Amino acid sequence: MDNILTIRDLKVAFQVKGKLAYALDGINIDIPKGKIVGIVGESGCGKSMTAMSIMGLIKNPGKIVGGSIDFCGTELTKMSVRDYAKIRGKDISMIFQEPMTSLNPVVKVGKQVMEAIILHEKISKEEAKMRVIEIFNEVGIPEAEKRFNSYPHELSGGLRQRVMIGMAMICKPKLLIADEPTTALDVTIEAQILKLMKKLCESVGTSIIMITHNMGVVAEICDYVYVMYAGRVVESTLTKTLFNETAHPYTNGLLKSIPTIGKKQDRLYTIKGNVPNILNLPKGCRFVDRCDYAQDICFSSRPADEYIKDNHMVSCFLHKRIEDEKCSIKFKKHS
Amino acid sequence: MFKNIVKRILVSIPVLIGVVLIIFIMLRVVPGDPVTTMLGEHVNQVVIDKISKEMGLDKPLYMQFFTYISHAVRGDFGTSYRLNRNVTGIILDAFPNTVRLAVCAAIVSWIVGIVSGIFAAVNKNNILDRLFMGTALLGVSMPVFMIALVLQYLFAYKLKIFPVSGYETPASMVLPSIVLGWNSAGSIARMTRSNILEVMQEDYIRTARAKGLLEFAVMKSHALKNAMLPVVTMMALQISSMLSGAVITENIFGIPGIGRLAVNAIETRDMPLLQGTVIFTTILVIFGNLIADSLYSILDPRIRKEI
Amino acid sequence: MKKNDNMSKNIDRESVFDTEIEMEESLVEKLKTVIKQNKLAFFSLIVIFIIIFCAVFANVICAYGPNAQSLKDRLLAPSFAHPLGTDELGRDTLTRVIYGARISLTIGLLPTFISMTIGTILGLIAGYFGGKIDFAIMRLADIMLAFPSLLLAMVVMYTMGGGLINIFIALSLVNWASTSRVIRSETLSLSKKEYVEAAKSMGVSNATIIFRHILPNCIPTLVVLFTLSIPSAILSESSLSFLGVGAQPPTASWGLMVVSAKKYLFTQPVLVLAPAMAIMIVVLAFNFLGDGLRDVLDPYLKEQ
Repeated sequence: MDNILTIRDLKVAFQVKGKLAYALDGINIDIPKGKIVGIVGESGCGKSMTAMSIMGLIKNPGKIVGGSIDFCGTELTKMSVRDYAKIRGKDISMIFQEPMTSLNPVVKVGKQVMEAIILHEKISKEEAKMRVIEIFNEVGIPEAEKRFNSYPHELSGGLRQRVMIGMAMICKPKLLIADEPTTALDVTIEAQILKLMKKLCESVGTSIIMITHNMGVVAEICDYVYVMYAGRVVESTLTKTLFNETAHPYTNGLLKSIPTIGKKQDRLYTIKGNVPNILNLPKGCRFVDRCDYAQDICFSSRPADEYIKDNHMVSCFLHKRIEDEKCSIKFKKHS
Repeated sequence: MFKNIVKRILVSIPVLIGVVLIIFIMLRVVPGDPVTTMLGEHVNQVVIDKISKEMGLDKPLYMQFFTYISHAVRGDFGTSYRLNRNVTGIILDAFPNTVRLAVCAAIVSWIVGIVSGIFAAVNKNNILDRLFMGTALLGVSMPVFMIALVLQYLFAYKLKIFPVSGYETPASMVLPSIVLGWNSAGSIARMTRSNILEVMQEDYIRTARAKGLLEFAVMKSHALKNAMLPVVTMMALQISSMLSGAVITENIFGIPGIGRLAVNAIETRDMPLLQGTVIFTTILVIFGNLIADSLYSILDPRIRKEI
Repeated sequence: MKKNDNMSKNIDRESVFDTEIEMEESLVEKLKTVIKQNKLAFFSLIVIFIIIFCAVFANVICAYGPNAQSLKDRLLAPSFAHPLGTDELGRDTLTRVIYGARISLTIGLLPTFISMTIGTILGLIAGYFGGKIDFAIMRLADIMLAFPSLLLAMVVMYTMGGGLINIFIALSLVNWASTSRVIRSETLSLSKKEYVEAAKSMGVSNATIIFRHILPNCIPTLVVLFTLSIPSAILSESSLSFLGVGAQPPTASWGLMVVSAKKYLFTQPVLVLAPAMAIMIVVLAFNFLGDGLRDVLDPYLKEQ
């Protein structure tokens, strides 16, 4: 068993006006050891909700109503608050999107990182401080010793995100969840941060869940990709397969909406419409209202998850028809 | 940081002068002659003129003002008309009593307010929270004299635990301190609660949880410090309402403090004394605001380094 | 078959739109939600209406006159004829408490309205025009805020003498500063909005911009501030009267009733408690209502 995390049929719901609204509706995700797995999709499709359910930090009206999250043989969904806290920050840690607001403005950054290690390891304060300075050096914070005593507002966005990475990596976790870690940063900083994360995780053997809406990031560092839409995984496969043998119209839309340098386009492709409200999902396929290839069956029933190849899952009737009728409809190649 | 504080001190000087000016105008440019107001209606014009001259009230207003300011800077607030004593001396005699009352009341209100605010925030929206916040709102809504009279009735008259009035013994300070602290305790509790609940929504609280801290530790080492910053400022700002409340508390419990002095000054129509007490009290308030601002810039690293 | 599917598609689309409409709430709907969700605020509103009713029709409801003395009925215990007993001059306490509502409500509403009008005008001017006018008004506000308000009101009462009219004037003059500060900062942020900039660039007059674009946007804030300022005005009046520098006997003011009954605190507590409870109920009702309104109308104020 080389998966460190296995999510099966996970359902997270909110009680809204007396009825349950499913933010996650039966998702399956496997995270292999030491690999980088991307989760992509538009805002509001359940990416962050997936992350928060792995962390056990879903905010109150929401809760896990079904399914399992298996982390290295332990079932997380049934874990006590106290035991969960022992795993958080030690075996599973997380980096957030906004480095500006994710650090406590009135506590020195060194102290904030130190807190994580003192909490999980029996270690003296001096040793902990040494470790923090060490990790600061590793994540490329210049003048690490001086920066230990800085407050968050004295650091740039890139440095703050490096502090966050240091905080997440200091206990050498088995799994790192990065929730849009580079969205708030400059493009030049983005590449550096991604490289840093990849390097650190390779050296420790940490797996990464990379949550992003940026296909460029996926192409750059991910081994596997899960494409999510409205609380479901609609396609999952190896990164290379996803780009070359796109099977779901939504994935295709995402890929087509990446602008390309050196190619003249009149207008950048956009997927029409918006992610549906989870209180008012279409009766059939969730993507049906926005799909260019929608047919009658798509409006009336929901497609099942099907493997069209080893490691290539897709949830779409279109694909089924291609298989059955040997029809040769292919998406126009995105460039 | 020091630059900041010095700047604030400089800004409060014109405010101080403005305060003196307004009180000055209010007490002099009123319908009727200030001396007549002081002495009552049926007094010989000769006597009025004589007293006007003695108190310098016959000079033009701006001259009076500058004389007063220049004396006040040297700590001389004039002479009480009724007590025939230096106003500064009278105020300084009364001041320690007010300070003692205010300090005790502040301690009561801080402890009660902060503890119940935290408690309510932790038990958000359940029965305990409602109970605490209901009591806090009751604290804000009760007139000071009502609390005073109710406590006097219960603890001094019925249970006979504390004396009805007086100020010499520690036991006699208990009721006045609770009375005066009551209102502030209510507003501190409400502010503490709402700040904590607001801070708990911040991203860095999520980070702290993701680090593996349990709720108690999240509250203790991350939420409280941020939530308390505005509360600390507010506590210093409460000096103003404390002094207003002290006027009533001192009168009910017979404590010879500054508030009592002000009411006496009005009752005996002693203008110089009234003027002195109001100006002195306002200086205290301005000083309190200064402390509040400085505290904030000392406690909050974001402001500390900026200036 | 196909027709059915299309129908279901249409239905789904419609229901999606429904939720979007629900999200946008108008002011009236917000007020409705206050009443629906915040039972305390709703209850307070009813209490306030009852008190206003009593105050307006005091002469119809009450069996006695507020100042009708009856020396043989002095200091009676509560009875059927006098539900809350009588005071040292034989006046019916319940009657006087009901008449006291007239004074407290007038004091709560009128001077608050005047001082808020002054504060709003000054705040609009300061925030909109900025520069020296702004500086002058704000320094004046600083000075006014530096005074402990009760003491300042006492000084006004000293120079003008006791009496209700003078309390009106004192409270109107004393409390405008905090309103002007809030309105100024709101005006500042509003005048940076695109539609105000657009209006300016089209040459719309300043007065029109202020009254058509800025003031209406301040209304929710003003409603909340007004509701929350009423109790403090009522408390100030009762405190002034309690200290003997406010309403003068024999006016049926709650503060005055408390102070004159103070010497009977230990023998007949109801004389003190009745007017004091009346103050507390009115103040609580306005505070609850104001809190409820603030939560819905003006989350910005909540932060302060």
